[in-house]
Amino acid sequence: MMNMNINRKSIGIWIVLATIVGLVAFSGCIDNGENDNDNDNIGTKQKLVIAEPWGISSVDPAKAGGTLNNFLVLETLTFMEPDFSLVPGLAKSWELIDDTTWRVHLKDNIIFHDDTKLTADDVKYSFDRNMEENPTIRGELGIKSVEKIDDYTIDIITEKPDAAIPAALSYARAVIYSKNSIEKDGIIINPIGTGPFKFEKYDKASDILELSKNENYWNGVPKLDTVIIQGGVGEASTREMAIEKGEVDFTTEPPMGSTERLENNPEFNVIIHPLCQGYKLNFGNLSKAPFDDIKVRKAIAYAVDKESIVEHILYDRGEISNGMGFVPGIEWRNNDLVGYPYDLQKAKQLLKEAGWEDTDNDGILDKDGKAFKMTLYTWPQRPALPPLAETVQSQFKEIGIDAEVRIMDWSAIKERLNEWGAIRVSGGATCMRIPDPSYYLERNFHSKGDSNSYGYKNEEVDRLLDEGRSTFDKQKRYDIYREVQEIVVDDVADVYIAYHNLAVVTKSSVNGYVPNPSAHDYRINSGIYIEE
Amino acid sequence: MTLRFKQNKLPGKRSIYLLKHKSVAIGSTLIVMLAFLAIFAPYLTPYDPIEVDLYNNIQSPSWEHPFGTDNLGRDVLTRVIYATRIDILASIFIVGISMIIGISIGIVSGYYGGVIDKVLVGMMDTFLALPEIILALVLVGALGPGLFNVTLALSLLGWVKYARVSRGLALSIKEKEFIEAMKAVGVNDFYLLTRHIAPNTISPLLTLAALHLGHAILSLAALGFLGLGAQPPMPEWGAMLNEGRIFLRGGWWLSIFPGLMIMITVLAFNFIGDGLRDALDPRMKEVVIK
Amino acid sequence: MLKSILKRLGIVILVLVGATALVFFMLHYIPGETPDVIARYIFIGNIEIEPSNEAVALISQYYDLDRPLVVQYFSWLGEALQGNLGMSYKTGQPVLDEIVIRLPATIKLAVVSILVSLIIGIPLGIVAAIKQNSILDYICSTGAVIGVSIPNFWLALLLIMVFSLYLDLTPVMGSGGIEHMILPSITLGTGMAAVTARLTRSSMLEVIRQDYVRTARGKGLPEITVVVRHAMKNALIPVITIIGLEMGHLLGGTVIVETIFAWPGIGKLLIDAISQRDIPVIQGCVVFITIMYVFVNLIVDLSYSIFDPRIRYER
Repeated sequence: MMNMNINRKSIGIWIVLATIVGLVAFSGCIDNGENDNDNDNIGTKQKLVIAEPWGISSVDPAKAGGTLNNFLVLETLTFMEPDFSLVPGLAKSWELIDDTTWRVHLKDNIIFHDDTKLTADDVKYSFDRNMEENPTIRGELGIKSVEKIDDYTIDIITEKPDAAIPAALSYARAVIYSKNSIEKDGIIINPIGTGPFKFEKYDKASDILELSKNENYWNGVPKLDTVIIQGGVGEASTREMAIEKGEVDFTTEPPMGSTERLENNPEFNVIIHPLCQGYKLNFGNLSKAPFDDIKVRKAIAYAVDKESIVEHILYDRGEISNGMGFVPGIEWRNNDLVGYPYDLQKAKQLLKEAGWEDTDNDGILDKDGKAFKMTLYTWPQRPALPPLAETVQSQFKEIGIDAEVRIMDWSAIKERLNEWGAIRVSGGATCMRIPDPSYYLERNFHSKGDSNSYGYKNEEVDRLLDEGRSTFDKQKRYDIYREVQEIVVDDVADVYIAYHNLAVVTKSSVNGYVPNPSAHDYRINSGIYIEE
Repeated sequence: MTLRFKQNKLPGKRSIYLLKHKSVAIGSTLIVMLAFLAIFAPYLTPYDPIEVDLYNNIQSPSWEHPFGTDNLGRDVLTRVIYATRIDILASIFIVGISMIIGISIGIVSGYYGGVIDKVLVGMMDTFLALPEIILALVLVGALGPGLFNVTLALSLLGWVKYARVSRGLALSIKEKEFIEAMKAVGVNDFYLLTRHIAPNTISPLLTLAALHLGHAILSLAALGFLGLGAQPPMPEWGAMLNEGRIFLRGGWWLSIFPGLMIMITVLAFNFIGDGLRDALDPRMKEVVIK
Repeated sequence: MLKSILKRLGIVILVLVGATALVFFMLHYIPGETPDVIARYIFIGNIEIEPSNEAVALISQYYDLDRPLVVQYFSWLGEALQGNLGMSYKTGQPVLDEIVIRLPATIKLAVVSILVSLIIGIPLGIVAAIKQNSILDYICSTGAVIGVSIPNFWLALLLIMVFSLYLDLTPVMGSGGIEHMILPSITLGTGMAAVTARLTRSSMLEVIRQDYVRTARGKGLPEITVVVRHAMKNALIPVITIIGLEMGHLLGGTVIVETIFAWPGIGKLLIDAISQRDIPVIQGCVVFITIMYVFVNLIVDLSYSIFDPRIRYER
């Protein structure tokens, strides 16, 4: 009896053990596929492994065009050079035929990764597909339709006269790909492009994108054989450790404050270069108290100690701005602007003039019985933002404003911006996605701009922006856009604190990287090679 | 498994006996020390936990700053001490609310039985079907991040274990003669539940509560660590770890000390809980809090 | 037996419906305009840029987001019963696919962590029981309390500091091989090992006092034989429940551990989905985690009653 019982129990234990072993084996079998990535039988030498902060999640050009463009798989009709100038890309020239038609002549020697020739059909297919799958691209490009004229000529028809079209064609999302790209359920899973690198495969579970060299690239053969991109390495500290331990060859944005240590280590190259993006304060609602009063906005602009923020929060990976997002070197920049240098006295004075005074001596300003208590919202994905918000909070205390910091996801912030006194501490905000100022200025400061959710409205600015877009004379456009910048900074539509300098860290064996300030974050180039 | 309890009261002599129990003694000593830190925080340190001092950021431990300073130049020791207040108070709040909800639901369920019982037990099973931290994540996702929201979410989710135990207790208490007698003379249910049944459930639940206090701190800190809990600059251990994690390489002290404090506090509550369990309900020996 | 299994299954289904409804209604209180969020992901791929009104309107229409919540829930439930958990707002791919490609990673991590906990916990528990009230026993018991008190996210940071940074033994990124598995499974396994050790100890103590063990000892068998052949076998049965009891701890833990170690499992998927408000994915993850949790518990309960007929599951 007793024996029976024990036997039964031990059978049970064996069943459990067998199940566990089976499960391990089963889960081992399933993802054998992803282990392949570790096999470096191809091109052990000229191989670049990149830790990419953002997730990749899709290789459909209509959704991930920007990513595929950044990694040189897909190209655009015109290119933006690192100095923000516009040069021919897949197109060799373009001309204005009438007010709303641009004629674009394509190069006739471009060959896709599958050895077919690029023709006007592919260009039309790419534009039509991009704009249909993704209405934002249509909105951003301002294109009504694309017509084929002959095999190497297309017409681009716009809604309104549009001087920004040649620049817009370089937009990283207006990528061109072969109409033979492989689709599954309407989603492209194998994009065929013209760039220096070919798409090899993408493993979604591990978010790894693998590219190989395009031997037939039209503009000089790249030196790297293989590029492997590990997407979604969102933690700055993980990227830093990965490069220090040699797990990757190339990454960006190590934690603020560790650049100096990396720079002093001969095993690594640290390249710091300006980007056309930065940090700013967005007033939640410009048409409501307290920020409907320009004096209050000016006071806040003066109260932010930009210098100490650049030095201690950005660790010199930044520069004080002139109040507007365009970095020095951009031809469209208004170099006469000075912005709002840190000045506590002016800030206090302005607040007093606006009626804000500390009548009850509690250290917090008040007006008509209302204390100046507000919230600074920011989001966690950019590591400099939370400490930046905390610093701004402590600087506001100096002028008697009691701020609270709240960190939450971007989209949750949007609806809270209508609260009394809400300010968003923002980062990113790339202002030269295309080499034309209309993109950034219209989105942010036109009363109908997509990013103008805080309700900035100045009729003069609206008029100038509309005029600038439809003026084809470049000199006139310079004047128009410089005036817009001046008005917007005078109005304190937002408080631009500092430009952001990007840090790229590579192993010292990685050579030939050319910094590209025009990129959204960073962009590799075909001249990169490995040499010990 | 059904659990039965002897009814235990906690008269004075019993507490002295409890303190002689080694782990209760250790745990209580630790808690007294932590409470001391929390209460006298402003007198123990010359620094302000929130004031930013950018010129002294990321300094390694020294005589001036025994635990170093953080990325905004704040003294880590000061922040760790102030955080004691927030973490312990929040966990007491969580346990208190959970107990109130749990006991109310449990005794109503056990006392009335029938359909009410079935529905309430179904509710308990539903809540038990998901790991607490997952539900808390979803709930905080819905409420938005913040210390208050996290505390609220954990309070609303922690009641189930109390409800289960107090339901069992109510089932056995309602069979007692004195309850029958009172019912017979027409004492109303509300009076019976609040005056006679509820008080009798509290002492058996004390063990659970002590363990829950430790557990609540862990959950609170975990959510803080994920950036969903206390918002900066508020000093909270989990949120401090979240801020310090970026500096794992260049500032190990930012990640070591807040975690150590969490561990010590949780350890203290677990010692007390274990000791209480051994001393009060030997039968409950292996009820493990999930 | 069959009847009780069926009854349990019925309850499980009801609980699943309840849990998904609970989560569904909670999720719809998430602030932020859903179409706005989806438009950011699908059309822009960068949350920092505002989508155009045209894009938002298109999304709202496509996902039919204007219907009453209850209608939305039941239509979701109906689809879910047919195996369709909807499309991810972020990637536009079926949620089921998103989860299925990540499930093996989570299962692997969970199973290895359980093994780690058993390998550490059982020997410690047995030693503590055999040498009851010795120094060794005290060390084991104190170690066990420390093990359950240590926050797993902090342990993970400590392990990274020591093993990845200081000793340079393990990688910090990626998920390919066994070397990537070491730190996450130790992180998850430690807390469970503590519980396993405690339970093994007390169940050993109980078994040692049983008649048949005394008989075996009385027959003059060597102590090691008594412990291994007679006591251990029976003492380990309750330890199986550990796997069930700790499943919640484990699944909750995977969420945090996967996030820290960038382990591409459903825990990380869930955290990402919450911060990105990808509601269908959150919902899908919750369904899967609930199913795993509930079924493991069910299996444990049933196996328990098979192993030890003295115990009958009582509700």
